[in-house]
Amino acid sequence: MVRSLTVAVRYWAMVAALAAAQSPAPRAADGHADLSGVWNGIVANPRAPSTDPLASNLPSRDGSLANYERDNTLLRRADPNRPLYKAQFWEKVRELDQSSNDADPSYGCMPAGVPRIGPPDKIVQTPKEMIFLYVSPGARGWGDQYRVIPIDGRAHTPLQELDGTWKGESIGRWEDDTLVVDTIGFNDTSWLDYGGYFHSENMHVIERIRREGDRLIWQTTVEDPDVLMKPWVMNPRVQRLNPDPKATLPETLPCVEKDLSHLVTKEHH
Amino acid sequence: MYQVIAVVAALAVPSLSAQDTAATIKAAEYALGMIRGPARIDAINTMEYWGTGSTYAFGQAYRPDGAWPAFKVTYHASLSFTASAMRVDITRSNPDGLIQGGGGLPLAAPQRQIQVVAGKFAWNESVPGAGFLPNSTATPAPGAATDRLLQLWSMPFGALKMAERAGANAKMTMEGGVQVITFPLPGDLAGITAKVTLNAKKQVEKVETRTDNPVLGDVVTETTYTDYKDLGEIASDVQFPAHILKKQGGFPVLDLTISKTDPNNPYVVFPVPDNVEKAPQTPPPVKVDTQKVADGVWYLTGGTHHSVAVEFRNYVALVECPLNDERAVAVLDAVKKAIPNKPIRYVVNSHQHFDHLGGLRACVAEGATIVTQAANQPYYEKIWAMPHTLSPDRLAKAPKKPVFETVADKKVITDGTRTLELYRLQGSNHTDTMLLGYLPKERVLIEADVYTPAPPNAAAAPPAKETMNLNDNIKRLNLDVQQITPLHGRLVTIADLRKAVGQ
Repeated sequence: MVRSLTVAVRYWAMVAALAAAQSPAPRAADGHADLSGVWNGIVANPRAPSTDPLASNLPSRDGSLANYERDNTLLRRADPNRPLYKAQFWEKVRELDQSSNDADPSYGCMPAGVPRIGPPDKIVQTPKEMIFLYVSPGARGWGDQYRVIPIDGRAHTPLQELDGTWKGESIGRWEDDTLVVDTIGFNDTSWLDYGGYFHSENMHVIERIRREGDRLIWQTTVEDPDVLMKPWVMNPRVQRLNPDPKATLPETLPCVEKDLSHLVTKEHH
Repeated sequence: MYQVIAVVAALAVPSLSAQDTAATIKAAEYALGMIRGPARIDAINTMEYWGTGSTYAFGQAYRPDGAWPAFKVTYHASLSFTASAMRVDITRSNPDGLIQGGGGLPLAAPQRQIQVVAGKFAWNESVPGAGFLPNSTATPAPGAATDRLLQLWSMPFGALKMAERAGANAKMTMEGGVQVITFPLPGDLAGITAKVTLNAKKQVEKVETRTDNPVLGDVVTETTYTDYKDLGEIASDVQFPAHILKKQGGFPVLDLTISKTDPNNPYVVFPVPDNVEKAPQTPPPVKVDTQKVADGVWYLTGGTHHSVAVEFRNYVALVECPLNDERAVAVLDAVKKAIPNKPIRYVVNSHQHFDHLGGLRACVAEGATIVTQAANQPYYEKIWAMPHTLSPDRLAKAPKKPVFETVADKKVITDGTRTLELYRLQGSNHTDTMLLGYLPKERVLIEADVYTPAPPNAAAAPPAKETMNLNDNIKRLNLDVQQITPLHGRLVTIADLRKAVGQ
C-alpha cells in the first residue's frame, strides 16, 4: 500500500513537472513572450549518477573522479551530430582536434564567440533590444560576456563594412513566441565547439530561442558555405529558470594561461 | 490458476540465461573500455586505426588448395557505428621474394585503394572525399556493400553492439571452457549469424560469420583479435587489438599489426556522393554477346569474363564457365541458342582461380564433363562436397557427381571434323594449373589472364612477364596462331600479342 502510494506520488509529480515545462511562456508588457530572467538553474547534485538529461556526466564509469576527464572526453567526442565540412577540410578538422590542447582558442583564455558561447545565463528584455549576459568559464570561452541585440526591425550592416569579431553583429526579431537572433560579421578565430570545428568569416548563425514554462530552449543553425557542405543544426540546449528572486550571476575568475607548456601528452582536458 | 501465474511469470521474468548473456555482453564492453560515465553507457561511436601487414587475394592461389597470395599493405580504417559506415584506405605493394598467384599480382607500382560503405551504399574513392572534390572519382560498388558492412560489424566493438542489439536472440554457450555468444545480424546483414568468442579477460577474441560463396559454398570468415592495448595517441583506456588476423576458406585474407588508434575521432564522416546515391543498387542483368570468330567457334562475351564454344559433330565443348551460377546459366543458354540440339559434353576450365571456376558447378549440374589440369581434380572434389545451404545453387538443388577428364601437359578433344588441343602453360607465376586452348584448323588461341589486351588506341604499356611467357609458350609449342580469344578483354590477332611483348 505504502509502495503504491509512493509510486502514485512520483507519477503525479512527474505529470506536474511536465505540465510546468509545457505551460505557455508569460507575456511581457508589449505582448511578446517574456524571456527575461536568470537562466542558470542547476540540478541539485551534479556529481550523482542521474538519468536527467540536464544533469552533468560527472563522475566516471567506476564511480570515482579519477577517470572523469578520460570518460568525459570520450563521451563528448561520441556525439554523432557533427558539422559536415567540405572534403578538403576533413584533414584540417582532424588535425585541429588532435591538437586541441594547443589549437582550441578556449584553452588560451580567448572568448568562445557565437555560437559556442551557447544560451545566455541571463536575459534582460526591452521592447527595442535584448541583452544577453553570460558567465563563461572554460569551453564557453573566458570572461563575463554580453550581447546587446536590437529587435527594432533594423537591417544588418553590409558584411563588407563589418570588422570581424567574436560575437559578430546580431539582429533579433520575433517569430510568434520565438526570438530569432541572426548574426553575421565574425572573425575566423573561434570554434563552433570542441573537435576542431573551425569556421570562416562568412559564417551566418541563426539562434532560435523560446520559453516553455521554466525552461529556455536554444536551437541554433550554422551556415558557412565557405567550409561546410550544408548548414549545421546544433544540438538544442535547455536552460532552467533560476527561481530565486535574488539570483545573481557569479563573477568569472580571470584566466591566465599557464598550463599549456606543462602538458606532455595530447590528452584532452 | 497456478498455470496462468506460471506462464505470466515466465513471460515477465527474463530467463537466467538471457540475463547472463546480457551481463556477459556488458562485461565484454566494459573490458574493451566502451562503457563510460555514471550512466555506464556505450561511448564508442567512431573509431580510426592504422596498421601495416598483408592483405591476400581470396581465391587466387598459385596452386589448388594453396594459401591466398599476399600483398604488403599500409592500412587506415575509419569506422562509424552510428552511421553504419566505414572507409578503408590501403596502399598495396608487392610482397618480398618470389611473387606467385593472381589477384593482380605482381603490381607495376604501389596501388592505393579506398573502399567506402555507408548503409546500403558502397563506393570506391580515388582520394578520401572523392565526389566532393575537383578531379576526383567516386565509383559506385553496390555489390560490395554487404561484405564491407560485415567487416565493420565484425570488429570487436561492432560485434558487441550487434550482440546487445540482438537482445533475447543472443545466446551464450560455453565452448571448450570459453564464453561464446551467437546472434543474428539485422538489417542489410539479415540472414547472417555471428559467433563471438571471448577470452579470459572477456575481450573479443574471435568473430565468425558464415556467408555464401559460389565456389566454397557456406564459407566461414573468422577474424581473430589479440594483444589488446590502449593504442591511442590520446590515451582513452579503450582497448584495441594490436593484431588482427582474418581468414576465409581456411587461409588468411588480412593480417594486420595495428600501430595507432583514435577512438571517437569527431571527424569520421561519410557523405554519399550524388552519383553513388543515384546508381542502380542491383547489378545489371547478365548479358552474353555471341560472336562467331571461325567456322564452328563462338566467342561469348558481354561481361568481365568470356567463354568460347566449339562445335563438334555431335556435341559442344565450352571453354570456361566463369564467376557463378547466374553467369554460367546465361552462357549455357547462349551456347544452346548458337549451337542448337547438341549437348554440351565438355566444359574446359582454364585454371583454378575462383573467378574462373565459379560457374563450373552449374556445368556439372548440366551433365558436362569437366576438363581441367590434373592437379585441380582432388581440390574441386573436396570443395564441391562442401555444403551450399545458405544460397543453394543448381548443383546443391540437384546433386550430381562431377565427372572429370584431366590434362597433365596436353590433351586433344577431337571427332575428326574439329580438334581442340589443350596445353598446360609452362613457366607461369600466375598459376601452376593454367590451360591454353588451341584450334589448329581455325588457328585460334584461347587463353585466360596472361594476356588481357588493352582497348584499341590505348597507350603502350611495358610488356608484362606473363604475356612474354605466353609468347614463349606459343613458340615452344609451335602453335600457328592467327586469332586470340582472350577470356578477358577483346578479340585480337597474334600481331597484337607480338606488339604487346615488344616484337
